[in-house]
Amino acid sequence: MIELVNVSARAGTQRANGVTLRLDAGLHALVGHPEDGPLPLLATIAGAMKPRKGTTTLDGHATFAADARKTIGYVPRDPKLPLSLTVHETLKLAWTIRGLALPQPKAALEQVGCVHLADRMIDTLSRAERRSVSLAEAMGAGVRLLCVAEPLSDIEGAARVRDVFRACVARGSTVVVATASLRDAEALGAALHMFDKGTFVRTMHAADEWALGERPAFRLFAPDARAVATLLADHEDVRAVALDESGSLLRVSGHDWDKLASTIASAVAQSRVSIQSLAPESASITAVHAALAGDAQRASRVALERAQRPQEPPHNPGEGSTT
Amino acid sequence: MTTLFWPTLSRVKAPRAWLAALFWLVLALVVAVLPLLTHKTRNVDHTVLGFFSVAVLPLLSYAIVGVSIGTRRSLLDAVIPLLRFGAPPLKSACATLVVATASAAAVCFTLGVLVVLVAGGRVADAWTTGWISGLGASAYAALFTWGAAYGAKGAGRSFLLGVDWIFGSTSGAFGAVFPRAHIRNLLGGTPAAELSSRASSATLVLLTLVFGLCACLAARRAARFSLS
Repeated sequence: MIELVNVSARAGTQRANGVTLRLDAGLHALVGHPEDGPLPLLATIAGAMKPRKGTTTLDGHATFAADARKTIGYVPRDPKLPLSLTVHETLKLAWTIRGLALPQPKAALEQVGCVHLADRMIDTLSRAERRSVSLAEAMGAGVRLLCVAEPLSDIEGAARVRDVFRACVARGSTVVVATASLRDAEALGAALHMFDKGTFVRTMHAADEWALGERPAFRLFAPDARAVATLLADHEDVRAVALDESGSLLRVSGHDWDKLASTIASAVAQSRVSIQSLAPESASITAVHAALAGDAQRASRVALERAQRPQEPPHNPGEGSTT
Repeated sequence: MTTLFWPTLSRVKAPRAWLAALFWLVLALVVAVLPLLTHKTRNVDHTVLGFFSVAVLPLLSYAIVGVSIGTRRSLLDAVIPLLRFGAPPLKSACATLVVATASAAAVCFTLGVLVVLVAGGRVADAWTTGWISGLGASAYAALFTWGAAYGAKGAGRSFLLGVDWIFGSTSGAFGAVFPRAHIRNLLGGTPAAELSSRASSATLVLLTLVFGLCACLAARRAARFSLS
């Protein structure tokens, strides 16, 4: 379990202030714009940065300690790896420092789809490739805590990342990601911890549609999407279909991302319509914050109204009743 | 602990990293052989005490520290790749320091011997110059590694090179804090703070240890708050 108690962290203009949060085993996403502070907070969780205030612990031990870092895998935006070693040598170095019986480097690289990088020098790799190597190293080490910044962006083999995280969670580890993309966080199936201007706002789940909007949902552009709309309208995997007046913009919502995507693809193939684009629809972080702020205002208003209502005397059926 | 040496050793083994050091090596040998070729005379003292000890020894040690840590990088940058996997900061910095110091000592010992032999000196003198060069280079390497713990991209290394050049050239007590003064004393020049040769040798060993310790502690302090 990861526990943050009144943690403040800063990296340049990115700040997190007074965050108190508990993260149990599973997949968690710290969601917010860069200035909202999810990245420096992730760095403190990963033990790469000491909090300016407060404490960050993993099972009771401070994460910013050399011993704790041996059980933590961290994939920042720009990982610093030993430039003069090959990928293979780097993985062996890392696992030796972590005190592990050396697993097979190629098996770890295979998990993230980067076996072809095994004999490359680190200083010849792109940033995306270095991030993949960092992820492979963490997976090979079987870390208890895996922290990844922007997990679906600028990383080689992004398509496998979700499977990698599921494997991690399945063996009891905790995965914490930081992202400015609500869509990426939802695609991973993570618990969403929303941040706004450096402050933790709320933890949300996929069921919180009142703030996140009806999801999953896709938007499809085609010269004439009516045929696709007709095929999807009564399908069991589709919750709702909405076509605009021009007939070219189709919005489809369902119950499961994978099934919905597959259903739409089948309908497009069956209708033989040429589509211009198909993309998942996601609420913006700003819209979610607005919904949360609106909800907070409503809650305050309701509490104020209740406080201002005159107190009614308690009803006692024994007095004055004429039954 | 031996694992912590891998990254620094791999940097030191890379041939392309030695281009700057090669320049000073070649220059030192050319300067050593020139009096023989032009004037047909031997001038070992001038060669060794002059160009080699004043310029080549510190600059070659500076270049070797640059090779060990990595071009335009600070000491913390060199050890972060180890720290992120849980290596202790003090031991990681110590590993980098040991490789830098040993490399500088070995290369400068060899060059000191070659310079004297090429300049026409005796074998005994070559051996003496060799160990003085090795000892001086190890003190320089520790000093510059400490400097590399400060400033953007280890700019403190250049600062200390300049400070050694200015203050180490004096013969007062303050000059005795810098390797330059003791190397000059050991090679037959003006003694620093009127110290004997034996005292200068011991001081060079002490300076190596003190500068080295300062380098490791500086790296540990730099890693206290962030590994980025």
